[in-house]
Amino acid sequence: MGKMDMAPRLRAGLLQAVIKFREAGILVFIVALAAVVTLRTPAFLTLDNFRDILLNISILVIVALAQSMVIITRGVDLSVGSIIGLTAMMVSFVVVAFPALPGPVAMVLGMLLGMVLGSFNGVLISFGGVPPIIATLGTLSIYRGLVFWYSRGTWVNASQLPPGFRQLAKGSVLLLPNIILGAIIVVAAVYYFLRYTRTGRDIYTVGSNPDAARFAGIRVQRVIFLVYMLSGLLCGLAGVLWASRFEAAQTNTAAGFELQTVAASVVGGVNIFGGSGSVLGVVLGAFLLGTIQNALTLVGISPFWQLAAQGLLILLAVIVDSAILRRLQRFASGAQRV
Amino acid sequence: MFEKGLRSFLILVVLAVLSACGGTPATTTSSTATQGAATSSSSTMAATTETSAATMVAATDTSTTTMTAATETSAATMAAATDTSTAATAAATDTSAATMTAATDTTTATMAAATDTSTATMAATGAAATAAGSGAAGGAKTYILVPKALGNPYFDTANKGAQQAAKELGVTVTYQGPATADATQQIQLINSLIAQNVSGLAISADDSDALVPAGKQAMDAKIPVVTWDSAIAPGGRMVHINQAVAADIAAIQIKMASDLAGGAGKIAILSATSTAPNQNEWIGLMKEELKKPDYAKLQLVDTVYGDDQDEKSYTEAQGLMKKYPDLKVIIAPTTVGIASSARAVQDAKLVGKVFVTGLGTPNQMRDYVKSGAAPQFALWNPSDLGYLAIQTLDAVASGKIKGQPGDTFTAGKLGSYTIDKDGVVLLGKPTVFNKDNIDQFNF
Repeated sequence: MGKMDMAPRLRAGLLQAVIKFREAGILVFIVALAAVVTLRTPAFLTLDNFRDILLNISILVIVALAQSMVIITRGVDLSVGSIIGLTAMMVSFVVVAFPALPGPVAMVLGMLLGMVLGSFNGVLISFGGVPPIIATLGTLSIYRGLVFWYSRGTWVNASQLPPGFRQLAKGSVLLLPNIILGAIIVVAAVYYFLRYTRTGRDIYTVGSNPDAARFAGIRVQRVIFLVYMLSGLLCGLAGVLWASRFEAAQTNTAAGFELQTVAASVVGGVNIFGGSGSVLGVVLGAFLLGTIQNALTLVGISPFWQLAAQGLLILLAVIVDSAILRRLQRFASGAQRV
Repeated sequence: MFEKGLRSFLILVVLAVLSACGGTPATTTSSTATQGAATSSSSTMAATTETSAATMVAATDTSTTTMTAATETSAATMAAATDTSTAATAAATDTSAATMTAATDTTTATMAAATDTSTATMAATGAAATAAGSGAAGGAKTYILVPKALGNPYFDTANKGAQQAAKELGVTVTYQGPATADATQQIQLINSLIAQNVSGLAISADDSDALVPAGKQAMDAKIPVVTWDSAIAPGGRMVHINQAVAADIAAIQIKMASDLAGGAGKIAILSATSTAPNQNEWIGLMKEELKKPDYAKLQLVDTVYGDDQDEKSYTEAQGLMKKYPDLKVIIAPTTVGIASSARAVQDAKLVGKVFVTGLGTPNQMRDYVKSGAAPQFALWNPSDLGYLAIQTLDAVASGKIKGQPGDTFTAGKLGSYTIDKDGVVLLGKPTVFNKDNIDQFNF
């Protein structure tokens, strides 16, 4: 008899651990996708390709984290692509004019610039009371317009950018490419911020129940302003890395990128209605998007289908994720009853 | 009520801060631009500027902030104009006048995003009057080179060629165009130029049909009209100077690819969007070209689309190299794609194994040509295009030819040209850029 109920209890404990690991569904989907693609194209499962995927998603991870902080507060930042475009363009012009400028200074400059642009969003939304989707839709156009106005429609090309600046994203520390290192640092910082700082916890509280947060003495407006400012700051960093990685600043740099960041956040389990979401989930969400894009080009699906296939896979991922989650929960509650 | 006021005030303040940080390096902007940045898309530029301006006006009364921006713009452009005035003194004054007009145009457009183009055109008319006046006083002919829009390096390069032709012919060429690539503005400009009774017009049309009446009107007033780069439909112009024919563009790209692959091996095409008509025409013709026995050993394995986006083109190029480990050449007949592919090849450390070629601009490709990632690529030479436009216009205006099909004339350094049965003169084969000649070009 005693042996009989030991097993389910053990199983329940394991299950609960899995359920706590909210990102299990998405991980399962990534593994399944990788397996299918590897069967068709062995070149997919190589260390080189894995590194390429990581390189390609580094910027997405940074901006998706910014986006998820905003989404957690029940907002959305549609201007991220334009902020990246504008900082990429402005910082590129600055480094062209002052080639001796060290890379880290350019990075700080980009972050400051992004912070100013993000603060403008923050002011509009938190103190101006403009709904986030409308405010950032407006600044999406304004900032993109400023890109054209500032650059007069010209591009900054590879040959104009000083080598030091190009090395910013290309160089590596201990075999780890700088850009991946940068993403890791941002992930760690945001993880710490959201989990262990008071303001970080306030972000969740504001998102799950703004009224309660207000009664709990949280300065809601300040928190909301802060997330948009942080979003701008991270986008500024992303803009500098973008220009450095792609060795160019074009007028359409990062146009449409905002949708990818929203997709990565939501696929990664951030609640679109606010209140919840984890750093690990967002990283996996971005990784899934990167894998899908990489896989579609490798498998050789007709380019005319690729966009639709990409959307389909994203939807499938979300469905599989929620199905697995639901089943696990049911299973767990069943197990607990035993 | 108070909240509303506060809100407007905040918006105003932040906009002011924004334009201040955007405005300060504006001078740097235009000076670097003159040094030679690459391709531009002025049409989109203007459109978006107007949108943003409109949004700004919608938000509150931003006249103060926008004014500051405007003043700085004109100052910057004036500086640029002084930089570029390298031609004869008369021409130089004209150019600066024209560019000042451009500045005025831009500022007016930005300030009153809504409609007011009439003011801009009036300013243009003023400049035209000065130009025509000085031309008449000197007894020399004054031709006007009209681009699709001002502030585009491609057209600026064409103007350099035109100024060279002017020097050789002993005429004055004034460079005047609409602030944005907009047919209505271009028509208004042409009408005012007709009223000035200039000696001839060389136009890159913003719309081939909409400009027919304006062109007719000019010809009725005995002002010869030739078009270049982008044609006015027959009936609205005498001769069109075509920069390149699709078949030549396709042929040169296959030839370059064959050279780079050593005559045999796998090649792939990385295009812009899957719906771009010019891209698809070139790709179709390239496939035809590959059927020739010379290229029997070249195997086109894939065609992918980078949508003219840096990021997507880069990923697609990466994918090509992984899918076909023995790929020899990527042909990218698009300026964004060719640069992204070259960078992808460099990053993958496959320089010397995979080569990139296609269509691009020298400024954008300079580094990749030198690194060996894209040893050669092609494009027509915009400077020659402007040169030939003015040579042709002068041949017609001075009565050497009538502009009829079959007419033959000599165009200075470029040699002899014949007008074909459609009233078109073909500039010639595209120019191939490689490490030997790339430093002679700046566009």
